[in-house]
Amino acid sequence: MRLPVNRDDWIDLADGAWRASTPFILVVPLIAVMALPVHLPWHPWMPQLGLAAVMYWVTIKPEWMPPLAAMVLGLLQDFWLGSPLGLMMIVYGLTAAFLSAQITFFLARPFHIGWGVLALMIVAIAFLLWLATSAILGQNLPLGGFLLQAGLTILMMPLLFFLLALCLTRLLDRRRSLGL
Amino acid sequence: MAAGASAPKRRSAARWRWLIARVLFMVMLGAAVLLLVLDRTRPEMTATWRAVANDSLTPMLGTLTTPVRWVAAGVNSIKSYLIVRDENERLRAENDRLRQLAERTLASERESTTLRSLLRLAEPGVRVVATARVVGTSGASMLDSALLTAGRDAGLKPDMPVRDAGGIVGRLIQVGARSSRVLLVTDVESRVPVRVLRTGETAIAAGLGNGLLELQFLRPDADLRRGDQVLTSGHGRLFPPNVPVGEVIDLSGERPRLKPVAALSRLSYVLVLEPFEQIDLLIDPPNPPAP
Repeated sequence: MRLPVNRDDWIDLADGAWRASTPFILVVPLIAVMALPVHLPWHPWMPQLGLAAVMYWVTIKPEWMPPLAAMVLGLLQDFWLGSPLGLMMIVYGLTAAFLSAQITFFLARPFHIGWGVLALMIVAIAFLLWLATSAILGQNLPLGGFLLQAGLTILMMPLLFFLLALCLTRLLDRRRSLGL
Repeated sequence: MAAGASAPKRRSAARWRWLIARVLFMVMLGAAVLLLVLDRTRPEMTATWRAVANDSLTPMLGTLTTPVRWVAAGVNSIKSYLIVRDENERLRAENDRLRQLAERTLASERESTTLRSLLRLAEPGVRVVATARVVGTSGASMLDSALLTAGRDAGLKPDMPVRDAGGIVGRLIQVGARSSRVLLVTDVESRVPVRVLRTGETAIAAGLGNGLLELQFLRPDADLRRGDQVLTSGHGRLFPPNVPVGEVIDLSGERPRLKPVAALSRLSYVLVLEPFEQIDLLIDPPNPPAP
């Protein structure tokens, strides 16, 4: 490893740090948005914006969202939204680890195929969350709420991915940031 | 030659990085499981961490909710402009009904005051500790809760009851310096002692986690009808008595279901009350009857 010695090296270092931390930083406000008192009139649940964003970054470039970073975001969600501490930390970590192992599948497929696979994953996660929460609380929670939340997340995914892609080109495109 | 020697070195470094990342991942998974166990077995410990986290979130949510409130206010203005005529007629009818009700209530209150003074019973007045703004809800978690902008600094403590203009909202479960979290009455872990206004039957209103409550421990032959109002009973020494909790909406299942009367899906400001147990009801016991 070569230590930075001149101005260009420092710029490269800062650019690398910015590139590595931006996806993580962009998920934090999404988790905060999930805590806003805004939701569907007939149901109090919000889509899993944080989890969907983590899925996006992992399927675009796994190095930008390693499982450890995803776990920190999951822990933040547990704290901010009051869910059982450690639960979303595990969900985020395992999701990022699983998706990063399947990266070649996502890179080679068109969007609708990737979306379909992520949708199936979201439904499976909702079911597992229902099982885990019911077991932790010792109550038979209604499954409908979890599935409705999964449905909302799946519907929100194209718009969320479009916005994140916009951030990707605006904030992380090297040529654009260098004015080329 | 040098390039040939550096390639295995790079491979070895990459292998080490891969190994360290895997070990760290397993350690973090273990830490997450430990947190889950701690959260259930030592909730008082994790409540402190959660309160600190809530304090960090509240200012951000306060800023984020401002445009949301503007939009909601705008939508409400347009809505009230569009329905102003129907709304006027409805309010006029309601005003007539309320005037009749007020006359009857005044008479009952006079009678009640006389009886209370005969029994030397103190008014179970409810003291408001603070008025707080709701800046967050747990719309994506498994807990039905709301985040308030007042905490220890405003005199709040865990287990204090919270209400809005409609009725009981819940009770405080985590109190930070400048924020606190309310467990809503609809959460699966919430239990509120209640009585039916029409018959006086007592029961426990338990949250179902789907925006509704159910009545537990109600006498099997209890006379209950759709539309019956359910109020807090004052038992359990936490929620003050006679605060509306819900309205019976479904009698078809094993247990009657209630719809909460507090506007839980659009909370904006709430009142945090002193727990009922701290209010002394009797000033002085009445004189024993002469032998």
